[in-house]
Amino acid sequence: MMNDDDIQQIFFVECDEALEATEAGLDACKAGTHDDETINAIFRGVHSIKGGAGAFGYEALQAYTHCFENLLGDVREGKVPIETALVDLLLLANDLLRNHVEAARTGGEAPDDAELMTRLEGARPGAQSPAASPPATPSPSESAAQADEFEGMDDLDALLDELTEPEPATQPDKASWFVHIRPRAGGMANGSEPILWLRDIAALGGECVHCETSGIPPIDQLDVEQSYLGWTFRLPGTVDRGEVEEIFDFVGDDCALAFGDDPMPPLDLLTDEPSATDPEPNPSSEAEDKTDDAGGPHSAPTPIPSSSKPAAAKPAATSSQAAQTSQSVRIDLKKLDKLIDGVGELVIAQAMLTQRIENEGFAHIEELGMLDTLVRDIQEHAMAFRAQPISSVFGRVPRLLRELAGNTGKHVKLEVSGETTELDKTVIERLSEPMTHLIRNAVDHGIETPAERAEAGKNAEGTLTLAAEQKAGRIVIQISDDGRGINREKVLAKAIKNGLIAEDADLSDDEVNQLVFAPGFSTAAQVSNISGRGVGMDVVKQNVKELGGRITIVSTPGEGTTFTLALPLTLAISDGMIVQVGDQSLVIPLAHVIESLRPARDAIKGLGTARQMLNVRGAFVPIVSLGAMTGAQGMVDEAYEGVLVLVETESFGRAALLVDAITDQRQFVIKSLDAHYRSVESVAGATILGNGKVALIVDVDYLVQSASGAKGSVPVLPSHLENAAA
Amino acid sequence: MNTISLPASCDRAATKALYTDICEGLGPAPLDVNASRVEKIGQAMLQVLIAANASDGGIVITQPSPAFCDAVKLAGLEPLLTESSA
Repeated sequence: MMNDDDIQQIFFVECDEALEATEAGLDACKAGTHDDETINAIFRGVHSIKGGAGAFGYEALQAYTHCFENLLGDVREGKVPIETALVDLLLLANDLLRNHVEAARTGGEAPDDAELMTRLEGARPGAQSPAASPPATPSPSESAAQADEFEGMDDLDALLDELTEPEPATQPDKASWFVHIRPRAGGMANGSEPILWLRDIAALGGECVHCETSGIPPIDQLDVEQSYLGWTFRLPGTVDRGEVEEIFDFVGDDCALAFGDDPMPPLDLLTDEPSATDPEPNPSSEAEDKTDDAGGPHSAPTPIPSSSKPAAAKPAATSSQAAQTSQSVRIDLKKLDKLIDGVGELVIAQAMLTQRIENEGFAHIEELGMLDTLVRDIQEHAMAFRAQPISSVFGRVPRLLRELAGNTGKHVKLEVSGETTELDKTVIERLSEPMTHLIRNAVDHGIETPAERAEAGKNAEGTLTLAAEQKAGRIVIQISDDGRGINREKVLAKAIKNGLIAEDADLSDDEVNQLVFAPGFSTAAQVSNISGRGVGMDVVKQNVKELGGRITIVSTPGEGTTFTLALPLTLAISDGMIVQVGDQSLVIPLAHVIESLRPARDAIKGLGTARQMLNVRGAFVPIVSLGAMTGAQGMVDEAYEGVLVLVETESFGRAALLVDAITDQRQFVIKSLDAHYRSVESVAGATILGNGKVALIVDVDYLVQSASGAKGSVPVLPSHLENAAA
Repeated sequence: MNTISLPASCDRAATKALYTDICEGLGPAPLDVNASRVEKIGQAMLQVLIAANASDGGIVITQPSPAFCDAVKLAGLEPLLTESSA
């Protein structure tokens, strides 16, 4: 059962989601690509934070969101035009909202919002036209005082809304609609209170048209713990259903809702005592009772479509109730991780079972294939649970750029592509820090000042491009700027000065670029308060490496720099080719494999004394002996005696890995070598094979890259030289 | 006429505490329910008052505080005020 902390955690997760939605919406406004739904989504985001803030007693956050929401409400109603200045103000407000949420989350001091609240209030039409608006929002301190009522029951939200509200309830609203609310017993427990929900609905302009009291038993049979009431509220057409549902976000099963023509959800008492429930359960008769009960002012005819009368109920209460059930489930990440771990063990157990059965001579039985398919399906579905779009990382960049613009005076245009690309949640979470640093670095050091750009004939506004795509089983993320590029002379001089390289070192352009990742290259003197926040580029590289990824740089002086991060899709399970190399079994991740072949003797050409190239349909690729690279004993001596696995690498083009034999191709569970042993270059991890033995997973990129310097192997040609070699 | 005075905070705990008193106070004559001190009132108390009002003698709400009136209006239960005090 969830406790308050769990629920608060959910609140903060939802705050993050809401902030992302509001930020994305405001960016769309800035780009001029917004529509009514964009504004509604922004409003909903802020509103939902306000609701949760009230429920959990974050008064400063609630007061601020109320003020923010007021202006958004005016924007939504078309009272305030969406202009650049307004969008800039709203973006600032959203940034501060993020700080507010962070303060609430960490228990820190709420940010100073007085000035911004004044600006938000000043942007409302009431600021110019006194007749249009009732008194302004109370200050946070006033609000806090007002909110100090029993366990938040008369929450600030409602109080504030009452002060600023009243919508003209009598205004004939052609699109009025109904919501039926049936609290359950749990709705009155643990500090919750259904009357608060009603207040929130009233704050949206809702009006109670009926209170369902027929479920209340005689006083001597009444159970104080039970919930017997139900309400029907009429809402104006300007309010959408999502806004009402948001009020009940934290209510869960403690309240049943029905909308429009659906009947009031039936009474649902905690116990099965028939005496207390006897007025049940005919929804239509219950609904008919309503009109009588309502009596007095509520029974007066209203301009509501007759079809929306609850009396028109069909005996489909349960199905309509089911239709209101949310289509998503929130799961504790730990539970999900356990599931993933379990799936990993299942994959291993399946491999072992398969091996055992094959050893008994039943390799081709149908059930093995079925099992393989099922395990693969389960694995894919389980991994999909953890997949998240990279937009959650990209979405934070606009704010970062605004902050940087404020600090550096460099206004940078952001271009984003591939933001729907999905990757593992863990990768996403750990990607944020290195990306933030790379972006800070790009703006601080890469992109020139407006004056310098003008002098160089560039647009005064710099451009930062973020791109993500899935490529060869990896996620490739590019962070590009159109700045001055890396000044290699300066980098070289700095590296020599810092003792990173010898004075007479002869480095290629790429090697010089790589120096920026060297530990100790960044110094306090070099980094500003923008890019030097305790994370050097060496840490960025380390972070990426820990994710099983790789980072490369392409930089052209005067034109800009591109950092490319190649990351694994997932950190848990992957497909691989199991190969035999001498006395060792190794796993080559299938994402790298293009094809495998047993070469003809004449397809192998010598290059120099100890180098060999493979002729693959007219193109020559270098042969890399896995045995020589890994130190395996007893492997084949000649390339034509073994099998060549043609692989594609991120930075070094294609290569042919020489192995003795391919023994299997299957899913494997990646076990971190760091965690169980220590980090070993050229090894991406380890896995357990079907025979119970541990096999190392080859880091193909590293192996191919380092092959040029390894004894007994062949230097690897960059891909652009392949054709020349041919 | 029996009289019962509602506390400032009419939450579920208060309702539990008053329930027996209210039951015992009901009779052939209306029970006088003084709501002058009420600052907040929740569903639990409202439904007890509705049930009490449906009893033979019913109840009469006297001196309802603004907060009481506000909650009753919000919940669409104005008849409780008008009918009970009639």
